[in-house]
Amino acid sequence: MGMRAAFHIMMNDLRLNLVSPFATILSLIVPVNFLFLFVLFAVGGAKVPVSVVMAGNGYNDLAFLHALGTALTFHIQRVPSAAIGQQLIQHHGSVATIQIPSGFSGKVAHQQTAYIPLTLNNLNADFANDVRRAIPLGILNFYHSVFPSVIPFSWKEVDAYAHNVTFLGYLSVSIQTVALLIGGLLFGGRGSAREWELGTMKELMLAPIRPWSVVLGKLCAGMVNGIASAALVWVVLLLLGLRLLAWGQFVGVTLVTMLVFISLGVAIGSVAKSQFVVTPFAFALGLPLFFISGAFGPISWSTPAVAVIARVFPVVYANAAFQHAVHGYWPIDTAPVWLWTILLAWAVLALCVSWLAYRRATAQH
Amino acid sequence: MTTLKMDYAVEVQHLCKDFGSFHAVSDLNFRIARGEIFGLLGPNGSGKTTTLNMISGLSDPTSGMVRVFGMNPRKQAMSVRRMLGVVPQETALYEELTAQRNLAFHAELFGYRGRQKSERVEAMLALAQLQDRAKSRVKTFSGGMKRRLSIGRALLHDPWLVYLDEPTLGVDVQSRNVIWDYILRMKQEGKSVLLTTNYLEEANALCDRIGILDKGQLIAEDTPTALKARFGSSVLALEVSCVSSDDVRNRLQRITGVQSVETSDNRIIISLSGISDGAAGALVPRLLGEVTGLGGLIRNMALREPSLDEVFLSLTGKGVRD
Repeated sequence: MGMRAAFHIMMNDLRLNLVSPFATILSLIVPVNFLFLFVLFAVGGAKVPVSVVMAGNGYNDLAFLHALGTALTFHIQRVPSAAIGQQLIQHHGSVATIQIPSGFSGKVAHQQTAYIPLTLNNLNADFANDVRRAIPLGILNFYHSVFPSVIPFSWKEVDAYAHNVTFLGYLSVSIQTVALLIGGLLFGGRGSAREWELGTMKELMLAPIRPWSVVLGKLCAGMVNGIASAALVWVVLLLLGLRLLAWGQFVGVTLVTMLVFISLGVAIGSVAKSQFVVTPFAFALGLPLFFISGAFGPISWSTPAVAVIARVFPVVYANAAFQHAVHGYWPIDTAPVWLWTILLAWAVLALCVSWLAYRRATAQH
Repeated sequence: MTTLKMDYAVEVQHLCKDFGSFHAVSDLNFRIARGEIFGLLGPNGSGKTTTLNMISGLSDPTSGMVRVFGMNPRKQAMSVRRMLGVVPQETALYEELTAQRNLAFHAELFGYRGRQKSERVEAMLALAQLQDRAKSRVKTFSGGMKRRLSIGRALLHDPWLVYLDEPTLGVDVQSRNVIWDYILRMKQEGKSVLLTTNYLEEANALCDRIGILDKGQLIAEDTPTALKARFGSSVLALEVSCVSSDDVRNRLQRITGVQSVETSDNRIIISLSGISDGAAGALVPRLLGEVTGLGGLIRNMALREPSLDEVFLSLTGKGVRD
């Protein structure tokens, strides 16, 4: 009877979610919104818009223009005069105006000093510093390509992996983690809190069923919703070109992570007894955890304190396992066996917490 | 140890429940017989809900015993829950689901399957007179419809004991009469009914016996008729002017046959006791004479039976409870 009761409670929850799909929509919209936001940031914010004024069209003029382009920093717009460049700066159309002056090619060919006038909008220090860093890089690129013998050393790149992982590719996988994190808390929490709000928890408490059936039913409903939500997010990632290298690991980490956060959601819902508390709580807990847990790169690249805090929570391990399942490398120094042990331990702990919270809530009734 | 019998639907002995230093229920004793409608009345915060939570097994007593059909509702929770039907005050329905789905879910929780489930759901929709709205979402229902559906849900698993918390709160007169019929039908079917209500007229009309709770203690327990008799055999209600109510009270209270006198503004309620109809006939002119003798002008008067409201207020006081 216990399993059957859990099944009916799960089905009832799913019906309620279908008729009021707030949590489902929210758990989809938020991660996909993040994805769009960071895509826009990556696409629009990575390169600095600059104007270039060229007085001549000599070989070295064009070579320097090309060298600026290969500095991977500038979004170059050629303008006919310094005055137009200045106008663009004033109208926030560019951050700097780089002038390649008359006689540049000849001076460089005769190894004379050539000055490159640079007008910089230094109100945005971040972009201004990007320009300050990239101009010397452009000069270096120029000498590497035009006078390779002047710089008597070079480098030889050896890639540690067979493929590059782009910022967008890495971030997209992290999006799956935040979907499970926020979605799990919302699905578990709202499903549990709703019964208290409606007063129907009393009906469940007075039915001839075991208390664990209620918790199990809530968890299963959350899992079904969570899987549907995760599948939809994954469809978006597929459209972005991501492909899985390890299906089993991806499914495994999805289920374990979901179980952790749905269980914690059930616990929060049982304690708060209000969906209006659960929703902001899910965001207040979920978003900081997401941002500190290696969403944009390995946590060892962040500050030591943040890395230590992140290691306490399961999100960083889930994200690392997802990255491995998709990109084929572990962005964390924890051995896989330990990583899985930590994730499973968190799942057991979260289950215990949800059970205790439910028992406490019903005992205090 | 006291032997508790299956003869009673509910048996409560020396029941106490403390929340820290607060005594929510103190030394409560009462029984509800099989097929009896028992009304539990009391002001807000008197301990009704706490008592009911202990009877239904939702909370543990601090001390004392509760038995439902001879069973401990905590230790034999499954059996007790099968015998118990609950109609909560707030109806507690899934508003976004249909009436039929609400009943079906309840049936599933109580182990009904297949045709048996469908039959019970249909029967309860008929009982609640909601067949034509079976597929409508509950949020579109009126208060009376929700209450009827809630009663149908409580009766779906054919319980032996039905607990109704304020069953007619906020419903119209037509729905109230339907609900009263349900309750009386439950009694005819041999079910025991535990009813809480703030409408004393309702308790008077439905209950075989009434228990009045105040500050966690049972301060009165009897039939409605016997409880009313405690307030006197008759009540003389007067509306007067041009007289001090204190003077009237002091004067009338000394007269033989007057049990109590209560005054508020220009109203005087005189409870008469231990007198026959004929004696009342002689007493009333004397009382009127005393009032007019003090200069009072009688604008209205009525001689009637005591009401349960007067019994309740005399026992629990007129102070507002939160």
